[in-house]
Amino acid sequence: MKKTWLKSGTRAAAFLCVFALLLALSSWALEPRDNTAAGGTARPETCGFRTLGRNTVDIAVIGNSNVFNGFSPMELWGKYGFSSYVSGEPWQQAESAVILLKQYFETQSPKLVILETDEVFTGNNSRAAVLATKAGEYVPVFRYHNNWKKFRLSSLAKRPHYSYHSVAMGEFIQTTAREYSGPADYMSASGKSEEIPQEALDSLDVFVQLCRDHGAQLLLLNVPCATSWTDGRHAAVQAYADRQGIPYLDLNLCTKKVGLDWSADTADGGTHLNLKGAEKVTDYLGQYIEEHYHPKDHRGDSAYALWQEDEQTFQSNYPA
Amino acid sequence: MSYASFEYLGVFLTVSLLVYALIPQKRRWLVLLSASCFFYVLNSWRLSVFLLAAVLISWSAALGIERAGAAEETPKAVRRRRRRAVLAAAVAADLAILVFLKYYNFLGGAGDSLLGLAGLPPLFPQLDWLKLPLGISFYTLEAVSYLADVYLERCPAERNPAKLALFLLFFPTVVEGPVARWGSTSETLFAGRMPDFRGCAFAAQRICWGMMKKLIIADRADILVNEIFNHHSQYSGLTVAFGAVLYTVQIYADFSGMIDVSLGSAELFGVRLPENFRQPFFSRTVTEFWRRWHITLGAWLRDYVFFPLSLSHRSMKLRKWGKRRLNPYYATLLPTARAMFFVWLAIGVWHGSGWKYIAYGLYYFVISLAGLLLEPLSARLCRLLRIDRTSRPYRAFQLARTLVFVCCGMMLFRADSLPVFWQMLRSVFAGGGAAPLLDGSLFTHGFDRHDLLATAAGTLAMLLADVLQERGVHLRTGIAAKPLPLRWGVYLALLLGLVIFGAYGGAYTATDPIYAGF
Repeated sequence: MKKTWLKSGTRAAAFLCVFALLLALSSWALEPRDNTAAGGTARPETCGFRTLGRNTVDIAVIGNSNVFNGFSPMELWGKYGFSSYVSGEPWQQAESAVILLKQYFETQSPKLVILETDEVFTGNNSRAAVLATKAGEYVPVFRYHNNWKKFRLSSLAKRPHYSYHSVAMGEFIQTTAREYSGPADYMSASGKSEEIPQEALDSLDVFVQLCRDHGAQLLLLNVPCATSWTDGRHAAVQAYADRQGIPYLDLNLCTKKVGLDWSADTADGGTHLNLKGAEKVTDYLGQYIEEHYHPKDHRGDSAYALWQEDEQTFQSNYPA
Repeated sequence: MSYASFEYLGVFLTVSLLVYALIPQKRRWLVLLSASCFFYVLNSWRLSVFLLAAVLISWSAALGIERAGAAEETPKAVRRRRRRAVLAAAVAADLAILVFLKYYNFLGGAGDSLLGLAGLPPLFPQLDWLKLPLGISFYTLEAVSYLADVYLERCPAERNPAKLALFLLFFPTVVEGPVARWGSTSETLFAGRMPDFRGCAFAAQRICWGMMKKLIIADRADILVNEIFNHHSQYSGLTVAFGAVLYTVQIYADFSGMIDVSLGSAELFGVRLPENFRQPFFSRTVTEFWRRWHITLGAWLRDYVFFPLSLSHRSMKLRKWGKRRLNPYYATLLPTARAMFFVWLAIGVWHGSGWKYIAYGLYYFVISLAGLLLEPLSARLCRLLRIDRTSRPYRAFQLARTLVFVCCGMMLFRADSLPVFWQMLRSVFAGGGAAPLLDGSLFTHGFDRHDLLATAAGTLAMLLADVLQERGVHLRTGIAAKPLPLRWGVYLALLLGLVIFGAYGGAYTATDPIYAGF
């Protein structure tokens, strides 16, 4: 009896080893070879920073679609000379932000990291989803399994090479406008409290610690979003920021100071800002950054020639 | 906690199994009870009180039935009356909880509409806070069958309420069934036997197969099914028909897949649960389809609704009445039709509250009754036209006909309401509407051509397995008998296929098992 179980146990272990080997092989085969869509990257703009020169990004901005619509690195460069990159993912999960930040620290050493916190409420932060993301970090096939759709045998011979460059430094530009017709006082006290889900809190803690470990300052941010942000969510993030001793800037509370016009500055009725709205937000944020973090103005620096070129292209594509 | 999640398979099931293996055999059922309580409370803790009520009602009533029958000093007729009264009261109490929680708002709304027609004020306020406890539609049927079986002396009443509680809330059955019977399940449920290595491997294979159906076919198809059904007015003809077929595939893969996970989970603990599917798409008639689809529900309704009704005094009278006026075939059909009406109505109502579900049940009633009524005519016609009803082409025609009826029924089941179903059905018969399928515009809503390919390949694999099983091949035993490289090749292909082609992760939204909503 014991012998049978031993034999069966050995066979099961051997089977699991072969399976583990196959997982490793398929991970290698399906991992993106490039930060382009064809290379297997879901949203190339998110990791366009990998193509930039080492340690050239001073400000890393991470978050969901609110931030890649509502923050303009080229506007920040043009007005203040600060080098920034916005890495947003639609419906970003807090745990994905952690992975993205780790990728940043592989080639960049941002002095300031800005995290848009809408994702802790709107992202899929369920335990199962977070587990899947974590599993994907260690066994990449869980994360990149969908790349079978783009799989080419020829790509197996290629080494990872990042070639995608985003002229807008990650920003998603929308020039159309659709008026927000909801209440103007969407941030007024409703008395409804909200809590950050535990899984998102855990990921936030890791995010904060990563910044501390790499000597980067962290700013929690909320870009104006009239359809999903509330005073209850603001209070929850504020409480977290206070606990951690991190500055928190909620631009939903100062849309007038920002100069936001909800009839013209939103692309889809109050959820995402358009280019005009992003410019206003970035201008306001630039002043705040200049005042509190004093990053270097790189304009005229030959190491940042690419940024100068990109700004010219950006301005010609989207004249003010 | 969904069966198709890492939390269930990787943590809950694994830990439960380890503890189960470490505990002495005699006490193992307590591990199952604790795990089931934990599972239930984790998923539906606020509403656990209703389950507790069902356990207490069924336990005490079963003992009451037995005690009433054992009082030998009482005359037999009185004993019978008492036993029947206890049974009726307990079944009514179990059903009352279900009816109140599941149907109050619908019945109240319908009642108020009737009162409104009579010019009277509404009487039933809508209770938006009413929620359905997890698995109530399943464990209520199990509780009723247990009571009926004790009443019919098919099994003795259980003395230990904890054992009855385990039977009703056993975690592999509580979400989507199968509807287990006390008599056939209790023996293995409380035996505490561990399967041998081969048994464990078979159970794991069944779970993986179920996950394949759920993750590769059902969850992927869900994207396109939602697109077509939620924006049905933008589509017509072939595209709507394609949506109905795809939903039929989705619901089969989802429900049978989750049942595979349930049965595989139970097998890991040495518990044998009844099968719930037997290759339903090989049915020649819709009646046969329902004998192969959700078998345990059909069997429950057959044993506890159809037989009692068709053998009742009133049915006998109806048959006699028919014999005087009709030919023998139709005379026998009369009481059958009466019982069938209630069975189909119950099938419809069991799935949900609303006119749509009633129509769903009656849809199948009309088709199966029409089949029975036209049977003599059909037989005569076939004789006249010299059509061999046992021939392959005729069988293929029957399978295709059943498939059309089933897909049509599924369209009704999935449509938001009866008017929407009617609109969709009309658009199918209006024809055309193939453009979104052909020009690819249908595949731009998060479901691309690659997804279609993966769904088709998964469906093909599922059908192939069904074909083999229909031919009497026991797949797991068959594969286990093959040489090791081939055997491992199949298992590894299934596992790796699941990892690579499964619809999970950021690009997909995890969907709840469809039948968990009933």
